[in-house]
Amino acid sequence: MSPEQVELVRDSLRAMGPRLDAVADDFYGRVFAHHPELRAMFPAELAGQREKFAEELQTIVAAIPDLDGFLARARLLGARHGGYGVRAARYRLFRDLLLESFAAELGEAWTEARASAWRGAYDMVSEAMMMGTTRARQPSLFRR
Amino acid sequence: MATATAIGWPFVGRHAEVEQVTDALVAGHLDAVLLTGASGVGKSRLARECLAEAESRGHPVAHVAATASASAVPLSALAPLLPAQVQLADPHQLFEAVRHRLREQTGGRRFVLAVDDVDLLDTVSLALLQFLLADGSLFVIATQRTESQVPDALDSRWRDGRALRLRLDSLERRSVETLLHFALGGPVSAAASEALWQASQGNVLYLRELVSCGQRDGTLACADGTWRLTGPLTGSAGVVEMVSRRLHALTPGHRAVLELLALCEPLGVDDLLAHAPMDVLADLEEQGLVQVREDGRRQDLTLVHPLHAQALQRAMPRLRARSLLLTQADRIEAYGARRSGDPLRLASWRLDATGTADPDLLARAAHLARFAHDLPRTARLAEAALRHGPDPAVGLLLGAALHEQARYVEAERAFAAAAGVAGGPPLLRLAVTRALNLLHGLRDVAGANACLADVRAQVPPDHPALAAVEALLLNETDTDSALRRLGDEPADEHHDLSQVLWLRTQATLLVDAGRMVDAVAGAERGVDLHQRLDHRMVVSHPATQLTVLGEALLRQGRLDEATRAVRRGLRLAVGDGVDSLIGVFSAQLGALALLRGRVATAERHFREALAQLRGTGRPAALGAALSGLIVSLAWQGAPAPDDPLDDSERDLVTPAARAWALAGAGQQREARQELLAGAATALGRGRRGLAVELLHDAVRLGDQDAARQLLTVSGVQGKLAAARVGHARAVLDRDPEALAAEARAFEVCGADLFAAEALVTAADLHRSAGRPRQAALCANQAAALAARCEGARTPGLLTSSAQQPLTAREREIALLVAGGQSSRSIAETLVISVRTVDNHLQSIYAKCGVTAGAGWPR
Repeated sequence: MSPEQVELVRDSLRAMGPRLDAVADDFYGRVFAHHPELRAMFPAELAGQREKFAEELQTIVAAIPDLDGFLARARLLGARHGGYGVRAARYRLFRDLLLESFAAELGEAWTEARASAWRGAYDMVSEAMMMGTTRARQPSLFRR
Repeated sequence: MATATAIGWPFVGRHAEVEQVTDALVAGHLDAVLLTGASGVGKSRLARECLAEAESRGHPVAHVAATASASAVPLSALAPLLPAQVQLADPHQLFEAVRHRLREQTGGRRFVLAVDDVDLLDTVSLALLQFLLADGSLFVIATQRTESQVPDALDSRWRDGRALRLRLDSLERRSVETLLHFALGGPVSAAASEALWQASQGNVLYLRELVSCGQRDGTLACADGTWRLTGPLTGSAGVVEMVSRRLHALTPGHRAVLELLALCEPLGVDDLLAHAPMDVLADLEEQGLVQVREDGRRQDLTLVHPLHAQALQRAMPRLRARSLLLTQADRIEAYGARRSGDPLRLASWRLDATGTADPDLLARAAHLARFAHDLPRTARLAEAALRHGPDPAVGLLLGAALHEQARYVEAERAFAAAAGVAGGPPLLRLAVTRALNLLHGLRDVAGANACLADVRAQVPPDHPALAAVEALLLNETDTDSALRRLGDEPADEHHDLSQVLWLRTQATLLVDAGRMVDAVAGAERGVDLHQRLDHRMVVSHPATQLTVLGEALLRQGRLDEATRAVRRGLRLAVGDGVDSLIGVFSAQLGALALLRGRVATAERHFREALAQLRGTGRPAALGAALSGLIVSLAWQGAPAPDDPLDDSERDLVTPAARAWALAGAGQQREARQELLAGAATALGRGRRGLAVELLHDAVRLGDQDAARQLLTVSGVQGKLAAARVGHARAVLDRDPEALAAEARAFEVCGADLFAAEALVTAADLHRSAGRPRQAALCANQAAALAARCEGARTPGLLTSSAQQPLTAREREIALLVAGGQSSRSIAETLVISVRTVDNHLQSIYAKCGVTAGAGWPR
């Protein structure tokens, strides 16, 4: 990502800040509409889930400038999702749905530049998460 | 912030592919994945990630790379699979041992093997992979740069639905940006991103080289936490040049390690520590130039990318390469070469360095290559072994490999040298193989006889191999005495190879004698026995048996079965790349097409056969293809081949071909004389089948004398010969009904052209006897048969009074009648009067020789 994109992502997240719960609701609504079978994997009451979603999003976006912290965080997240058997194709679908929710929330303020920055950010997060799903990296004799 | 080095660039944008491969591994009904894609796109990396995934699921894994140099000795690339004590002498035993070892290691789970650049793998290694895949103990992840020329071992799995093919494209723009962000450890300016994307186009190797060049010369630098370009990116040139430039900047110590790896990789870390201190190795790994691979308890180092190896090899002076290879070989030997596959690697290195290696190992490697039917490699290894001194067994191997490559003169030289060595054990085998080379390759019957002299003194005369070769020599002059020499049954206490040779000889002689039906049983026995042996050494390739079976079926008119046998043989020969046999089978397909009257198809097959055989064929096979081409052209009314024959080829043309060339030039009398003379010679040599064919050709050219002679030839088996004789008899009797009956017999065999010619004669006889309708019926049937013959224009198809074809209107009405319509309804359909319809019908009946109400042939 370019520095400008990092700024766009953080900036738009700030704009949504107070309403992230509603965004989360909207996002889960879209997910379950596409994949009703996933509903059973979530608790009946989504309140806790909403909170987790907002917190995770803010934490990970805040971590972008510090790559080591970001990677560690994302890998943990990925290891958890890997346990649910989330596959590469689904990451992509969730990205499109999440960006739809953002677009619905921000309306006019959802520009192509912002959309593109978020796609980049999401890809970084999901790639880092997928690194967490697989076992430890290639062993190196010399790693110090 | 993470340090900005190329160490272990993250794996980005390919997780879906890992999932696909893992699914294939888990699913169980697939056992191979082929990853194709351009150099630098990330195939090998993907394979490595898939291996790691498989390993985490409890599969034992190994990663090997095929390279042009490692393939100098068969199997050396697959060293990690081989047991510690490699027994090269007996490939069966070796393959079984590998299977056993895998089973032991895997505890029921499949061994997952990644092979980079699988198309560079030698044929023995491919045969081993195929063997293990068929056994179900192996899962292969293979990479290759091109999508064409997939090794058959994998391609056949794919055709059977047991392999997955994945094409890897370059990374997408967004994945490149993600990768850069991770690899550089922070945000990258939009301009730098754009420039790196434009220059790399998503090729990961290019991207890495561009980044590392940029970092080194300072054009890509980090300021205030963001990576930016300080100037234009260097290295818009090709990646190879980029690679050389990058390698050029290394210290001599670093470079020496890379050079050694380029020649000898993979090498154990311990081996390398003898050359360079640990910090140099660590530095190279950090620069992304070398990587560590696990092989059992050892850790091996390899170069990260084959392009680096290529660039290093190209830049290395020959003598330096030689000294590096030899030093390394000495070092491994000093350690005792304990590791599985070490002997092979040693031989490879020594062979690459000096063109030679330990003679014993070379000899065993040559046997192995021969087993996989890798003839050029067999010859190279055997020659290298023989430079250390004579060895009759290796000499025999060399001669046989040269013989099968149609290098007959060199083969004879190799055999002669081997025969000069006193006390060699394979005396009989050597003499037999040498005699067959002299006979089939050099057409030197006297020489072949002479080289059997020693054997006759030492081997009982009824030994099947000796009997077979002597019979083949006798068959050059007289088939009957050849059959007597051969005997009725092979003395059976001998080696299976001798039995195979005996059976093939018997079938060949029986076909020549005209006993094609008797020949089939023996030929089939030979095919079965040879297949069961799976022994591809010395007595030629198993497909050779199928040429004889095909011939026996073809000559007796069982054309469909013959086609199946020939196609099966062709598949075998193509699979193993036996060029000399491919041509023989193509020529047989041509002969089959000729018998069916498909003259244009025949011409195509013969031209193909000729192209294959001119480089590699036995003279006899070349003659058959050449003669077939001449005949197929003559039967199309075309002149003889436009490309002039050279003198050596002119001698190979058969009497039939000479005759049809004459007939094509309008010299029918000379053509018939040629055929009669050829038949007389054939009869004198006991070749009754050939005599019947030649005499029948003369009958087809209107020769009454030939027809009378044909009735006197007895003992030729098969329905095709029976129809030929019947044809001759009907011609002599001037009996059109009998001719029509023989035409049906020909048609049942599939010999449409002969059937058409017999019917044309029948039509003529009817016509001159004043039976125009019967004449028209025969003529129309003949026309229908001739229409299948791809424009054949033989003299026998020309009739004294040309048949009258139906007009377009008549054909239209004929079809409506055939559809069951009345004259009235036809008249309504075509808007013409009923009287006009009836007039047309009268004319149609007259032309076609049927009477009203008799029913119309549909």
